[in-house]
Amino acid sequence: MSGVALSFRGEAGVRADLSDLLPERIAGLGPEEIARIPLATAGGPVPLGELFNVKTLATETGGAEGSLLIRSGGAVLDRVGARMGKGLIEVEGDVGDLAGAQMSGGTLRIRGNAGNRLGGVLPGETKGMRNGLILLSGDAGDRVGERLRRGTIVIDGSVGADCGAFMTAGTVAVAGGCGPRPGFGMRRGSLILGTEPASLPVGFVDAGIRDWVFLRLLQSYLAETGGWLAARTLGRSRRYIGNLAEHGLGEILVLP
Amino acid sequence: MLINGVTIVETFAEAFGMRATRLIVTAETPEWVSAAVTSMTGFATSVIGCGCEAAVERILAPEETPDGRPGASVLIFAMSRDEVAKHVARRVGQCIMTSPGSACYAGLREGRMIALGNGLRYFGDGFQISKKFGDRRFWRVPVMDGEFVCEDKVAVVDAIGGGNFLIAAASHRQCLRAAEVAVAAIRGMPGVIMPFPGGVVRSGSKVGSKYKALIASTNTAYCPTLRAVEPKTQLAENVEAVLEIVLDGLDEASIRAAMRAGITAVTGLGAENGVIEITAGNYGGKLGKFHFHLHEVMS
Repeated sequence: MSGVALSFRGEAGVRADLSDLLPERIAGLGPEEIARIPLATAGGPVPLGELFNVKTLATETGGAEGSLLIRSGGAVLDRVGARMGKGLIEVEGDVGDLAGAQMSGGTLRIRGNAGNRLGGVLPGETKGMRNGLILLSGDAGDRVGERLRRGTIVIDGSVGADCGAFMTAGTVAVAGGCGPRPGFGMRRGSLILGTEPASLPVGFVDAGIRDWVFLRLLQSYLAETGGWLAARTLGRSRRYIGNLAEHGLGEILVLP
Repeated sequence: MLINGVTIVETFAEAFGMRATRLIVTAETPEWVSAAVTSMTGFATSVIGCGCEAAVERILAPEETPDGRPGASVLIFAMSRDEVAKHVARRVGQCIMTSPGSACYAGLREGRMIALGNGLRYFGDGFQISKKFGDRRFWRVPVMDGEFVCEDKVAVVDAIGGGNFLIAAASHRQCLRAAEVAVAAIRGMPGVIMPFPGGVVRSGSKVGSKYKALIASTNTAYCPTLRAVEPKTQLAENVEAVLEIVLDGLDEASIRAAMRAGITAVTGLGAENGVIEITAGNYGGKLGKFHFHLHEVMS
């Protein structure tokens, strides 16, 4: 079989945890087997089939082997793609909190908005996303890319507070505005902003303006995915380095 | 075999197994690409004396390079993977990293990997930054004009060195012109380089010497000035000069195609332009496992 499409058919506002629904987990399973996977909801575990229509992607979109298409409808789907290691998850609609948290590979593409901690850290853990690519067409909440270690998060909209907080490597690119304290506690990594932030946290210093060759490489990497950075004309970008209290090897780049 | 009055001698070029890698060098302008790769491929004509053989494979348009800037692809050949690694580190470190605005990327990613930026990053003295996009890792090393961007690793593959053909002509001027025509026909072909100056060798060698310390010496059989005293001379009376085109390639097909293109260009000049014969250098087939028979190449 090829990919799988899940279309939410429950009542609007239902909250479900999709952390068990990963491409590597469903690979080789048929629609009926997938429909029996229990999902955690506010009312207790529910078979996936009670909330979603399950179809193979080949009949709908011709999706690639192991790919997962989720039409979220009115549901609040948390932890979509959390701990994902490979493959592709595409979401049509909004997702809840912790989408792509602690991903270690693959691509999570969300055509909608995301809640808090996109590509962030699961409760009780100390390290964030380790690899992979997250593409978000809308806005995201607070703490995007928290404790990011590797991988790339590209957001076409705006984000809330503490974007890239405590990053230790990797790349977060945000086209729209940033909430307070972007890069808070950042040690390394790149936070790329398409819009000048209202303010930066203490610990960042202006390191000048120039062309950055590595941005061309990032743009080339994203060329096939679309999104704001792939389409943006690169120019001389201002770089702030910080957080100086955390060795100052991180950077916030503000594109012209 | 006779083509346009030029004799194609029934012999073969004997070539050897080597290891090679391909690097992509970019810079702000084509002129600075040229400056970087000219420096990098300097003194890299023969593994015997230089340790490696290197040259520009072809010039790349901005849309062909990883960072969308003007570039060039360079092939580096040596006798082992370790030797390739050693010369890549030295030459990229001393000639590419030092060149204004340059960046260096892996041109091969399938095969056994060696360090590229992975060793040079330490020049950043702790301020170097790693960026991983997909499965490719790059290093950003702070330098005085900004950052030197260099890919982490590059692959080394099995390759072939020592493909060749010799052009014998009635005058030095005509021989040089024929060699230039051959080089022009080959230059830019994929997977092959001509590491000698201008792509041409005038001091072809034979194995051994009357001096025990030397492992190779001038190829007396093809020296026109020794024709009267060298019993093994291979030159006809009317040959005044011989020049050799040496080819290193990533595979047999690349070398074969380059030899054919070069010889075709030379025979295009024909006997009327003083080209007398095309022959090739070999060691009786005992040293190199790759044999490029001229008649097969041109058939």
